[in-house]
Amino acid sequence: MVLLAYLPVFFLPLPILMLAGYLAAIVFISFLCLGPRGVIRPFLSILPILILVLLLTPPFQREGEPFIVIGGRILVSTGGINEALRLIIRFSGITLLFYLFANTTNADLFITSCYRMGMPFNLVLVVTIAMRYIPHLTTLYREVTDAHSLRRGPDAAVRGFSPFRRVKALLPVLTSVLIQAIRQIPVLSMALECRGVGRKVKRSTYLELKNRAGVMADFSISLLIIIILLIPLIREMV
Amino acid sequence: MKIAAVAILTAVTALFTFVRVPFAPTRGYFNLSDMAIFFSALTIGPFTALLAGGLGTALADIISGYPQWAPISFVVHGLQGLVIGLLARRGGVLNLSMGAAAGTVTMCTGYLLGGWLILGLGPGPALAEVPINLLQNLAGIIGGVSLHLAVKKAYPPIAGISW
Repeated sequence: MVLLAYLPVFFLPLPILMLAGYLAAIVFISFLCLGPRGVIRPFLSILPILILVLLLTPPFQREGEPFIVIGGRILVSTGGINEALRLIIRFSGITLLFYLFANTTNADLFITSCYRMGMPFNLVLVVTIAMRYIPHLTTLYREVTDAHSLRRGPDAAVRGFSPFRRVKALLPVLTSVLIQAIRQIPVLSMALECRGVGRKVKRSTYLELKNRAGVMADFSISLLIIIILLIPLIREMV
Repeated sequence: MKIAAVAILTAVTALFTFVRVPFAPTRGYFNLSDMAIFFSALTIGPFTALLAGGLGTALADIISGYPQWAPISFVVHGLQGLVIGLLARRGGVLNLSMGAAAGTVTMCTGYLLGGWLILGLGPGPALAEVPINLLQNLAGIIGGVSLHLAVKKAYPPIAGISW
């Protein structure tokens, strides 16, 4: 969590070498905390964006010495390359910091600490329930997909890359999943009501008994009765 | 009922965000989060869509290894759900079109500004994402409206849940 506080450093107008050193430090911390996979995975996930940054930033920044000139027009300059490198370091650093945060923080503890810091209880409850339901709905989605593919047969698979044909093929599955999910709303709502969520009358607390003289007198008399009853038994033993 | 509805639809939005639809042979894909947001906004209401859209996409980003996008997704998709719900839920083709258009503009502008200024991607790469976001939104509008009509027909008690 503390690491996220270092995010603004990437936005400061520091020399590129300093930013690269800072990124290297974060890579080192990630390596220590998550291992080599924890460093490579986030970089692989943002690789297409990094390539886009490298290709598309220089044409927007043409300051500095010309580097590539085509037909008298400066296509790439040293200023453009510097800016592209700065953006790549910035985005990689932000990604790595968030990845480190997400993978080293316990979700339940994070939500509990958010509640302690003043996040509304209802919002905390929504997030907690949603996180419990995501794996359940994912399993449901797989089961419904299998059931639908069994009904349609192997020839019904969508070929080509038409996104709308693919979305259309997914609609029956998504409708079934949605209906199954929505049917759980009243059940969950009832379960929450049973546990007192949303009640206007607050849950009662334990009654605090005052230490009155009467209580002590009752206790003393009870003890005396026990002793009187035990006297014949003690006499027999002696 | 509100808490239960928002929680379940948050989980549904996260699930729809995990579903990836490829649109190019070069591993390009878009997700179906907008479909879930359109569905929530049209079927349940703007405030459910605000919370379910924002929380669902942010949770999906964190779980699927893109946590840097989570704060932007939370704000942008939340606002998108609210805008669609407020405009489109009044009924009629005109309101629906206005809601869809406003939702698309909110989402595309939000991600453009978020990528450009907050994540520091620069103008070029941030602009390059706009066509993909537009395609995703278009699929979301068509799919979201279809799901709304299909679920309403198949499960009429859904009309009783509204926020």
